[in-house]
Amino acid sequence: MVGGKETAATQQMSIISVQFTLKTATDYTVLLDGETVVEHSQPTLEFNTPILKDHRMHTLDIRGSVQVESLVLDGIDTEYYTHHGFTSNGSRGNSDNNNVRYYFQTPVWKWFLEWKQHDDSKYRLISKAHSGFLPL
Amino acid sequence: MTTLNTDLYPKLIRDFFLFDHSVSDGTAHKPVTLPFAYDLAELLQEAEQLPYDDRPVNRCYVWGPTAQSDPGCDLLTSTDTDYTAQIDLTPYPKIQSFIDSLNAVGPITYLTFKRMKPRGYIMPHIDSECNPYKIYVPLSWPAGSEFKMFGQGNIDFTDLKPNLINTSDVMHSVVNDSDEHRIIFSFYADWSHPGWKHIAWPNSK
Repeated sequence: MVGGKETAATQQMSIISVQFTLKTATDYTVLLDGETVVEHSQPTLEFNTPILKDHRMHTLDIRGSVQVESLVLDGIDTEYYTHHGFTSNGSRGNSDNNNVRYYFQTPVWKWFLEWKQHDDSKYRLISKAHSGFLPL
Repeated sequence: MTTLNTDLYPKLIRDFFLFDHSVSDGTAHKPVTLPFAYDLAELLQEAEQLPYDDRPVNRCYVWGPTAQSDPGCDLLTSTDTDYTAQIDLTPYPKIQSFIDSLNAVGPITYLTFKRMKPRGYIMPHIDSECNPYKIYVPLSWPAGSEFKMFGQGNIDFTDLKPNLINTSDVMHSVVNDSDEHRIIFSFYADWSHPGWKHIAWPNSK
């Protein structure tokens, strides 16, 4: 929000744990909202975020040649959302030679239920049945 | 707000039940009254004897499309017109009578009983491949049982009253945070039939 007055709801803040597991990885860098958090090379990583504003979109970038197997945000397994990352070649997925980006919001439980409700809707289901996997 | 007594539940369920303070606006679920008398204790007694499967939440498929394997629900794409009992209901005369009463209102298309074990749960989900609406009739609802809908509060099963629930469009989750089994059954109906339309949406024309 630019130039506006924030409400009490938008002033809520969260610090959450982020845990992911990579199937393949060389050295990689993790960025949160564009800021480097850590550089690493092990397949599993867990860290706590800085303070995040609730109900805002945040980005998690895993920069390197990576394939993301699991992503657990605030202790919540995001399941197949791992396949809804944004890759550097403009497509969607969990694997890339340069960068995989995930968008999320806090509170994680609320954002994730909203996302699942949309992704599992009957209209999406019909599209998936017709075209196969159809990431938005 | 529901604080679950156990940390055995996945964090998504714990947070959902703890932090979703929403209340129902009546669009996703509401109590309904069935237009015939029935005895819940007698139904429960028979329901406890049904041949349940071994899924995490035990199910017994009782009524559905004739000459088909269990479709899992009344599918959105179903064009079936003929429905019959899927088990021999002779040992369950009260359940048979209840189903007869339902069909006297209008055709029902699918009915299952579900038995949830103590501390059991169902992760948040939507039944998007199914007919949106179904009626749930709880036969036991021990303290600690909750049926919660995302942004639409908890289902009011006080006094074991039936509820019409839109499980196809709204995420929902169920817990039985008690030491007892919990038994409920649900059914889909031909909601376009005047009998069911009057019960489900009495103010619609």
